[in-house]
Amino acid sequence: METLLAFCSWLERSPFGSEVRESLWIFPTVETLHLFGMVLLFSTIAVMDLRLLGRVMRREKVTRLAANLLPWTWAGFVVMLLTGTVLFSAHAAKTYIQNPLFQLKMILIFAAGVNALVFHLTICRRVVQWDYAAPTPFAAKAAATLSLLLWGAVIAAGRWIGFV
Amino acid sequence: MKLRTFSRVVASLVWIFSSAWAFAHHGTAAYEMASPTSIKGKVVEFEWANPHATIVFEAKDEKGAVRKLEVETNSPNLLHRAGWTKQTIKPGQEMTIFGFRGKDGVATFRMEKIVWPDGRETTPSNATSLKY
Repeated sequence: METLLAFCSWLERSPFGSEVRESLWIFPTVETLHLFGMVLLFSTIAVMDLRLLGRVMRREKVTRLAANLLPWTWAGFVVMLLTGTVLFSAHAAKTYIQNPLFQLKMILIFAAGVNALVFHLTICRRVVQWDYAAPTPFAAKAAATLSLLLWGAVIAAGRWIGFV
Repeated sequence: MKLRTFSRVVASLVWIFSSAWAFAHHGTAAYEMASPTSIKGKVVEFEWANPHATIVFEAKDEKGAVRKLEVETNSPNLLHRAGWTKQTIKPGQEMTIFGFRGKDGVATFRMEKIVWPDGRETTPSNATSLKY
């Protein structure tokens, strides 16, 4: 943990971190892009999850919807990583890394990733068997529900960082 | 979705976020906005930072007791538009800061305006009146 704090301190005091913290326009601009990336990431995940829950686009093949949506989900995730890193560098050690809601947000993102990985390695392997099925298998619905809850909690945790 | 399922989802989220931590709220909710007051003392450090610039301040009361406070004010963008620069506040400067104390005895303060020893005033925004 000491090396993590030391790294965060270095990042915060670096010319890059200092510029983000002190600039008149960088922080609000990057934060706005963070919001757009969040919309892209969450909306594509939500449509996919709602499909797995049999709530939207019921007649659409699961695999075809996924093929159309996932590239955008990945693009959104990359935007979040990049903008998040920039914002983090402004107050990495003094604020964020020690903030309980920032920590929770990171844990939740990791959990959402694990949920997605488990889904892809298990029930999704046999997706051609349930591509058109209604209802979809329970495992798929469970993964989709968990996905919505986790990503919703990620968003909420992110918003609450400034209030704790 | 059934109302029962929706209620359970909402309840879970509320539970997650209302748990153990003692939330010391940020934003003006963290300050005693109904009791405007002032502190007199010396600047230790001025941080020109997003989203809030802060002054580390050593406040001295009538009895001579010194207390270190973190004084919060606006973003650099707002300060800039009010005519501030990174050099407007310097370590060692003596001043009286009008504003609001942090709730529950937390060592924070929200600045409304600065009054310098010579009577000049400096505000952190272009608003002429900061009444809450």
